[in-house]
Amino acid sequence: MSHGSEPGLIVPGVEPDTPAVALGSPPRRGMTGLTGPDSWLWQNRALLIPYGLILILLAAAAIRAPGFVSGSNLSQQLVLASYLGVIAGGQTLVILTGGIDLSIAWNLNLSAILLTQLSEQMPVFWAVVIALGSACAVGLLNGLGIAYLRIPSLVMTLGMNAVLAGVTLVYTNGSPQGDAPPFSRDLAVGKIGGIIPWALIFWALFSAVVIFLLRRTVYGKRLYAIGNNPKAGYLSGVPVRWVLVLTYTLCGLCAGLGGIMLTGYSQQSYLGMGDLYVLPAIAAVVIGGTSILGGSGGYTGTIAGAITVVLLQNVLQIVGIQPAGQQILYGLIILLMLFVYGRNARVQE
Amino acid sequence: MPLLSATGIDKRFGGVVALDGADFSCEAGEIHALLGENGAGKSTMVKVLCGVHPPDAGAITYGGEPITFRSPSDAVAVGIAPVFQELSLVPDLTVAENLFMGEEPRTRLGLVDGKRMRREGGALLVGLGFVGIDPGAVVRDLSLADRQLIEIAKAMRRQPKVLILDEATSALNRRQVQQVFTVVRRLSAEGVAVVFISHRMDEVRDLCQRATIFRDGINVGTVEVAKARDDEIVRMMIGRTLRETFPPRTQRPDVEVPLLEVRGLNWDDRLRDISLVVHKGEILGLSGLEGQGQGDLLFALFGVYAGVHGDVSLGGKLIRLGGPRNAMNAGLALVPEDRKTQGLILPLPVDENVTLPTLPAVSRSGVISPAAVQAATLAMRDRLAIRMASPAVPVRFLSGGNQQKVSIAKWLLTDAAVYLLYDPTRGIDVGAKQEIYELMRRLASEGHGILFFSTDLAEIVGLCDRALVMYEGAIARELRGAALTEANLVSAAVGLAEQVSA
Amino acid sequence: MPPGAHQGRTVRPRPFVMRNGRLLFVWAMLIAIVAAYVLIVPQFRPREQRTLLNSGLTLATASMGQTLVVLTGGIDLSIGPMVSLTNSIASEVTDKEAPTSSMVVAAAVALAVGALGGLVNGVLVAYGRLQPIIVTLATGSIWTGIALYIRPSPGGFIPLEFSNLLAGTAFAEPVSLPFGLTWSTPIPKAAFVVAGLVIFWIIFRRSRLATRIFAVGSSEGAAYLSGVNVQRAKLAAYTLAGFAAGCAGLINSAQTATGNALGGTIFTLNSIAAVVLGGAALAGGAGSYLGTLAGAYVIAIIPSVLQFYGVSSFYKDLVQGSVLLFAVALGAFGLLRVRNRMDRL
Repeated sequence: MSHGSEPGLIVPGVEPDTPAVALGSPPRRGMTGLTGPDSWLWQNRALLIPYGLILILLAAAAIRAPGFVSGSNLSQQLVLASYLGVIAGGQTLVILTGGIDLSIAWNLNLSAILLTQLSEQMPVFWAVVIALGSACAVGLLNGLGIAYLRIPSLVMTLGMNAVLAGVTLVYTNGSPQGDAPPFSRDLAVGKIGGIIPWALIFWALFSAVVIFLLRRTVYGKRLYAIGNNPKAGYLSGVPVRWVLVLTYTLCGLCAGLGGIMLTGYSQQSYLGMGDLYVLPAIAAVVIGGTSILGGSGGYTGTIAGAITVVLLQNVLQIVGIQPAGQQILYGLIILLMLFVYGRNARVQE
Repeated sequence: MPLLSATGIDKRFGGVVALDGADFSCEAGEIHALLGENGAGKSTMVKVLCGVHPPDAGAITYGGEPITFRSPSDAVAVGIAPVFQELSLVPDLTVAENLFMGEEPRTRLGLVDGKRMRREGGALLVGLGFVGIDPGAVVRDLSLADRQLIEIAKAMRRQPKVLILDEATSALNRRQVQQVFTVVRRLSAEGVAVVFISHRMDEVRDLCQRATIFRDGINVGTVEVAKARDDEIVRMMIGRTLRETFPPRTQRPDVEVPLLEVRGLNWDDRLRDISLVVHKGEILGLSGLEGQGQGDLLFALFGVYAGVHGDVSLGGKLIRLGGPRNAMNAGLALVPEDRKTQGLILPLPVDENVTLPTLPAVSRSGVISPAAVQAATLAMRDRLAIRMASPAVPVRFLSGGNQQKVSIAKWLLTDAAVYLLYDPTRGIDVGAKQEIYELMRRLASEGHGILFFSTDLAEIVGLCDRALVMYEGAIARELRGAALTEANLVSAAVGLAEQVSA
Repeated sequence: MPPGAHQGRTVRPRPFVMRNGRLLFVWAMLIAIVAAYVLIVPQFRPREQRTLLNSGLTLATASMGQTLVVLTGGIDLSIGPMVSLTNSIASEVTDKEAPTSSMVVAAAVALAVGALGGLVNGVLVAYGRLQPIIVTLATGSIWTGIALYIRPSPGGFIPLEFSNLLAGTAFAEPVSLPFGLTWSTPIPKAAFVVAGLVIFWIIFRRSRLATRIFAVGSSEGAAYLSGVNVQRAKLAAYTLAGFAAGCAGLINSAQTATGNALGGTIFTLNSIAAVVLGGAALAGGAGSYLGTLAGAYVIAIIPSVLQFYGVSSFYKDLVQGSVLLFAVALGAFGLLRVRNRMDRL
């Protein structure tokens, strides 16, 4: 984003227009330096914590179990993080608007089940299209309810999650059939030449697309605008409702993609497979520095957040901390992030 | 001896001086008006008197004793009861619950005695003559006028020694105002001091014995209302010390070309039958005291309000008032009142703010061209002399004047035909003001139309080709040419019928 | 509202039916569902009555807490984990050797922990000025962790006496009253708990605290200007919510007669659903526990009704979710009254 500094713009001898600038903000001279508000470091300061956490976790693991930091294990950890990362991608977009999507649990579950059941009856391509189409349709419905009926996102997606759980149960009669089609297994656990996991390639591509979407498209700019200040966005001609609908649809799509990857990972689909990913996805977004109030953050942080969450689960086990301790640490880290970023948001008001 | 007096009060907000060594005092049993144009300091003075704003310097005495208020409740505790226009009623609670908030009568069991509260609340309202409101009604269901009456009743219930009414009768009709006055006179006869702020001169004449006139943050005089003539009072209110120089007006053509035409615009009870025309190349001023519907008019024209009746056309084409996007595509631009919450998105960088309304123009099939964004931002920086370290700096780090320039720049890029400006120079420094005046004049001479609300009378007189004075949601008067004077603007703004010779 | 339209006409409270539309709606729904239940069960004996009342008892108690928090305009996602935590504590503190005395201790500890947990939420939300949704998500995770420490796998001991006390039947045997009268109708003990909740609400609604909580949820600014201590009101609401979750945890212990560190999870979402169904505004300031109570039982009874009518239990979630979405969609009609489009965003 930064276009570099242009020191020539500050005319020597010209006083700042009002003294208000001097209060609580960096001195104007510092603005063009390494740490000014237009510098890369300042704008990405939110990323320091999650990436720092990754280093700490890896160091802790290396001390207790040197084998953990081997190349193959680290790549395995990254593969696990890629599933969460894709699911959390959609959640990042939704949280950037100031909302939340709890329906990803059964949305991804339904997609996964559609994939395994339909791929026995039709070409896999069409099964994938239907699985992802259903995920998008669910997101679209969420978006319509939230944007047009003004149902709070928490309630809308909560109700949608229950409806989806019911639809899935009825559709499968309680026991999903079929196996993961080979392509999804390759996607989730396959490796190119036995070394580079396909999942990582896919995650890299996915990340590039999401980051591009956020930084370089009209949609991305509008998303940040309404996440920060929907009224100002509306008065600037931003189609607020459409941006919301599109965002929830994209979140649905990400859940669908995550469902396909998880299907490949476990070789099948089963009921309740999404429940384990709702909280971790939100945690990945929050740990990644995206403000729950909306408008600030991005996917670069979520990548780190997803890796942190996966490492937390696995490193803590190695260091001898029970799942109970993991839950507690989880909560404490989220609270810590809130104090770091929540405070920040308040000053901006 | 005055009951409440303030001497040498200074109050600054950021760099803006609101009160500059101002004095005010009122005596027990008198009804004392505060008069002044927008920003003269009268509202700040009453907020100092009732503990909302702590003064930067100066002293307050109450009953002869020096006193300091740390919060509004300190002032309430000694018997100073303010009624502000900003309502302090909780919408989901009943009238009775609001009247007794914080001091609910309780039963022997320590529970709120709802029956007694409704009974006493009802008796209070009847005693004040505010009939027709059931104390069990929920405030949300009341009309604005009724809410204002409840607000007044809430202050009365505390049996104050000083009652402050700051535009507290603005939503009331004549009959209700008379009812409030009856009560106020009764209180005053009982020895209560009443401080009264109103934009209606006839009300001041009707009710008050004395009036203190404020100008530029200081009290310029106190008069006996019965002895002072209207034009004397108006002359004390105008005449600001600080004078900007305005760019010269261009000669109006003999045949005006209408650009924006508004016919019979009505909204709620806040805009009443508004008709106006902004011509090509014209700066049309909107004046009047604040809150007379000027902001609502601009929002209504920009499509922000639902349920607006009336015709709006631009260049002869009817506009559907469906929302800002519609208005924007039709060729309107709005620089709203509050640049921090409505005009700008403070945490986002300058370039993203500037290009927000015109994103499609700096992108191809949804993908933004950084070069186009950069070019547009730098063009605006040069055109408006926006001082910023780089386009990537969040707008909140810019000074007020530069922020305002950014919130104008984003609309210049849309190349709108008509600009709607709500007080664009408020709270910015003199240099930036000058630049905005010149920009407005330049836009007009390029053939754009400008509808311009300002709280600063000098701006209306110095900058506008014509001016409309709004009063209680309607256009009260049109002034042009030699008649466009501060004296005429003020007399129309306070509801005086005849023109004053200044 | 044109000016003066009210002249000569008294502004009265809106008619009872309009004012309590949502409340009547949810009670009508409950009556319909109970009627469907009574019609299908072979017999509606005290045993069935007890089952019916017990089925929604934990949820009804937990939803009391959720109602209080929602009234302030907040939300509490840690209610379910707190139910689990207090349930785990109860199952761990009790002692087979001294069931009664240990159960008293367990109950006291569970309630204290509930209130303390609520206090923590309240401090973080009111004084830390953090978003309730994510604060309680985080504390919920912490409560779950602590519960897992205390009770890594389901089990533990809950005295039978305790189960009977909260989930049993009173007056199973005819009781002789003074003046030679006898009381021979058995009453499920859950009915006393529900009655206790309703009485608590009726009393609470008349307290100054309730007025403050409603005021804060309705308009924080106006409440502040009227001298309400906004933070203290929020703190009280969250603390009471934690205490209610503790009570729910005890009831859950009595009903399941076991401890489970994950057994309360469902109550977070269902308590929100109960509050929304009950007609409270999620933005705060409006609502009643009387609605929530009906909402809780609607949610709790739907599965058994479906079961008795031979509908596959797979439809349970579908029906519950649809009912919830239908109820919130009804609230969208209020939007039509908003004249400023910016306020509809």
